[in-house]
Amino acid sequence: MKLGAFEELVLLAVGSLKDDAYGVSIKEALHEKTGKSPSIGALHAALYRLEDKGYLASTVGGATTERGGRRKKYYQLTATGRNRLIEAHQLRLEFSKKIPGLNLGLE
Amino acid sequence: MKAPESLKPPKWADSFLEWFCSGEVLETVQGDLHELYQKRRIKLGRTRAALYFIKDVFSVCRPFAFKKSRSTNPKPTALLQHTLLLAFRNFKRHKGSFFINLTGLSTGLTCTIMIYLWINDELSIDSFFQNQDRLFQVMQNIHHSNDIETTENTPGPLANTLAEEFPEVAHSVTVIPTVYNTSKGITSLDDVRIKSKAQYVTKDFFNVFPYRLIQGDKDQVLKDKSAVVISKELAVTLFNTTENVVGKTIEWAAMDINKTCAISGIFESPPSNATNQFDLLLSFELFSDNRSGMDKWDNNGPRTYLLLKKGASVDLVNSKISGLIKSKHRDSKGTLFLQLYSDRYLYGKYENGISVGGRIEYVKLFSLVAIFTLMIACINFMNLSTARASRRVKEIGVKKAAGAGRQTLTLQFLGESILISVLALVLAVIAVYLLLPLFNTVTEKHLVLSLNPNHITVFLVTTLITGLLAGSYPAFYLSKINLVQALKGRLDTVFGEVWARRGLVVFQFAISLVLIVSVMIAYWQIAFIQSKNLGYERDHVVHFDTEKPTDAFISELKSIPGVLNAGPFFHNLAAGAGHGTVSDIHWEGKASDDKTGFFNLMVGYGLIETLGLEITSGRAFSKDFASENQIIFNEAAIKAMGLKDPVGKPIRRWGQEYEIVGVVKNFHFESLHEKVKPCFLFLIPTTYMPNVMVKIKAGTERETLVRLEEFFKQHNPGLSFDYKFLDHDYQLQYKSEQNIATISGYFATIAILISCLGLFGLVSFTTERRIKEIGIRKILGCTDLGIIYLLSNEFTKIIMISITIALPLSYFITKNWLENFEYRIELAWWFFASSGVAVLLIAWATVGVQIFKTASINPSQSLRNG
Repeated sequence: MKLGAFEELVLLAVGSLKDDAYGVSIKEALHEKTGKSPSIGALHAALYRLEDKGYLASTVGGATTERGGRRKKYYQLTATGRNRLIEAHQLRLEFSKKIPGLNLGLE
Repeated sequence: MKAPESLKPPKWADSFLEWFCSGEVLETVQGDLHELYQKRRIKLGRTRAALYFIKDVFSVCRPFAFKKSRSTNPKPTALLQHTLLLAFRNFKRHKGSFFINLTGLSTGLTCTIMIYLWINDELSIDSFFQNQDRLFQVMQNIHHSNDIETTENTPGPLANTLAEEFPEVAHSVTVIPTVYNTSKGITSLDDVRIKSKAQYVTKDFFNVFPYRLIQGDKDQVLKDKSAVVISKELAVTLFNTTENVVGKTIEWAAMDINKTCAISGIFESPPSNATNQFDLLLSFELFSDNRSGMDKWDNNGPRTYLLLKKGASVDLVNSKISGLIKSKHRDSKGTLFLQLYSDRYLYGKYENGISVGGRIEYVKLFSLVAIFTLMIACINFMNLSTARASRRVKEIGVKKAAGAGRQTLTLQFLGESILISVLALVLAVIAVYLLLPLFNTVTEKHLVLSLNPNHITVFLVTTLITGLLAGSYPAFYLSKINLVQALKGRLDTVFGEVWARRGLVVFQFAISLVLIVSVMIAYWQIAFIQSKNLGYERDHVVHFDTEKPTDAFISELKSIPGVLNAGPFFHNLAAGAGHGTVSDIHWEGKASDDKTGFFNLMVGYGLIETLGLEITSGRAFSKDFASENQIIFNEAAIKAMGLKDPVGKPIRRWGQEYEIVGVVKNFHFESLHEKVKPCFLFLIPTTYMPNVMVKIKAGTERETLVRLEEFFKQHNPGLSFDYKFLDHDYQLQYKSEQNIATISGYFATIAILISCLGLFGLVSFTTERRIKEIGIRKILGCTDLGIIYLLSNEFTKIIMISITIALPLSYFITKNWLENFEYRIELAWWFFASSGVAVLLIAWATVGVQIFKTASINPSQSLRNG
């Protein structure tokens, strides 16, 4: 299954946030790293899509007053999601190795 | 201090989010949005936070968030296919109720379609002119001392005066209608002689009535006194062509008018939906030259029609012309008003000077009948579907368990009922196609089932409404069934639901009964009229038209074997034959303000004897009496004049002296809708009276008619001998009532049949359901008779209730209808009782077989399985 660039970013963000990955925190993490903030709609659409594909799992919990008593939906990276990230990374590595003079500082 | 409300994001955006977002998505997304809003509010302020919030709400507005979006149907037609499949399976499994439903609905639709065609035709009558919204007939209200009579007859000079003195009137025309010539005139060209119908009209006829002129100019054709405009048909009959006909001459002979006329134009014959059919138009001057009084304001004879200018106000014209006759003739009791020409047919009835409908009543009546018949059929469907719900309860349960919502089930049942009504429509269209010739014979119309877009739309919409109506209650009822109960296969019948079903049956039978009673009473009334003593003998009297009869002709006629008596008559005795009224009659002691109108009947010697009119005092007309100025009044007239010992008293009519020679007993020279009005009979020369009445000896009709025909041919070479029996004429007068009664009879039969069909279905179903109960009852010692009582008890009660409701209702309806007749049957209680008993018997007969069968089943059989 294909993994879009934005979807990959979301997966990475969820993974990096460990146990605190939910809508707002993911949005903020992405903003912090990329400087661009995705719209809440686009972000949630991607999250639902990734969950459907099996790269993410979710649990529900953690209501706060500022959310008007509504619960958060926490996302975790599944094993498939993890593998998918590795695959994507390796693909990138393989290509970059073939580019003369491109040193990514790895290895 | 800010209110806590202001700490929240914009409410409308929030509601919008809640509206489109499915529940599962809503909680997390809304939570996120609110959290972001609070953070931004602190950082950026309220306004900008709100703007961001709105932007974010719209960003969420995409497919993943929408309600139900996550379970889109991969195949949109799947549900339809499923519904169709299930519907067909159900039809196949329950053939009985399917058959009943289909028969009921298709019969109902057949009735509706036929009635629709009939109504459509009624509405089209006389409304085919392009200028029909400006085309009026001038009507006259004559104010008698105790009531107002409305008539089409108007003074001869009226049309010209209207056109000259009133700027709103574009054109007006005086017309002597075809019915005034009590017999047809004769058009002849060399040896060809054809009986034809003529109108005498003034020169603006084609400006008022835009009949199409094939030849000739509409302003010119009627200018000359000896001009004649003939119909296309007549032209073709006479000349075989419509070319080069203008300028040729034909002979016209009718009553006392004989003229060689030059053809000035040819018109397209009036369409079949025109009430006024005529073959040729002659000049009004030709008529008025031969008839005195046509230029007088105190003589009412011709009809007047006018075309208003565009934009002219009818009310204004009405108020202006109302007193016109009075201003010309002081003694007149008439006021004028306008009636739309196209309304004449449907709204032609007046009571006390006020329009009280007319044939439109029949149109309304039949619309109601159509609606009711269809409703009765729909009720069958509702009752059978809900009664059989228990059969489908498992299907519904499984569907509900599998996640079918109420909407889905409702749609399924509605789909089923619409499907069955479409099937019924197909059958109905075939039935209409087959039955239309019969229907046309009964209604005397030329209806055709043409599948034009208009008709198709009406049919489809009716079918759709029928389907929805029939399916609505079952759909509502079946879809609300409780899931747990449904899966258990049990269905507790709710008290209210059983009552609803009973109520519907009551409604069905009540309507059927009202129809039956009304039709029966209509039949009785018509039979009563047909047999009523009219004051003249109508049996064995024939009448025919002849050219210029002479006294010698009449006396020769009398000598033919089999002829008992004969006499000439100017009129005939059909309703609306146009006996004019005369008020210029003076007698001894007449009050100066007395303006009683007397109908004048012009007769010849021997007519009174031929018709068997009874003379109560004095004697009939006699040649032995020196003067021809003899006059005979009827009793009503003598009463109106207040004369004692009238015989021998002098009378002045239009300035001429007459002597009363006799008084005749009241006889019905008009319709039985009316009371017998004052009239007088007086002699005019035989040659003016083309209508000859002949009394034939009973039992010798055939031979005598052959002899009459020979005799007629001798005197009228080339003409066909068209005779009519007076009693047949009389029946024709009440033809419209008779037709309506016959049609209603059919529809009443159909209504009761459909109702019985439904009852049959319902009873056979309930008895089937109770078969085990009956088995147990029989084992416990219940007799067959007891079972029959048990089973018939319930529906007998229902029928009794509908009888109780229907009888008073039909009493009021029929009483109302009978009031249209001046001479009518008295309503007796047994009319109603017998109809009630008949309906009860029909209902019993319908279900009797089923009940007997059930009651006689051996309990060991009914209790065997399970």
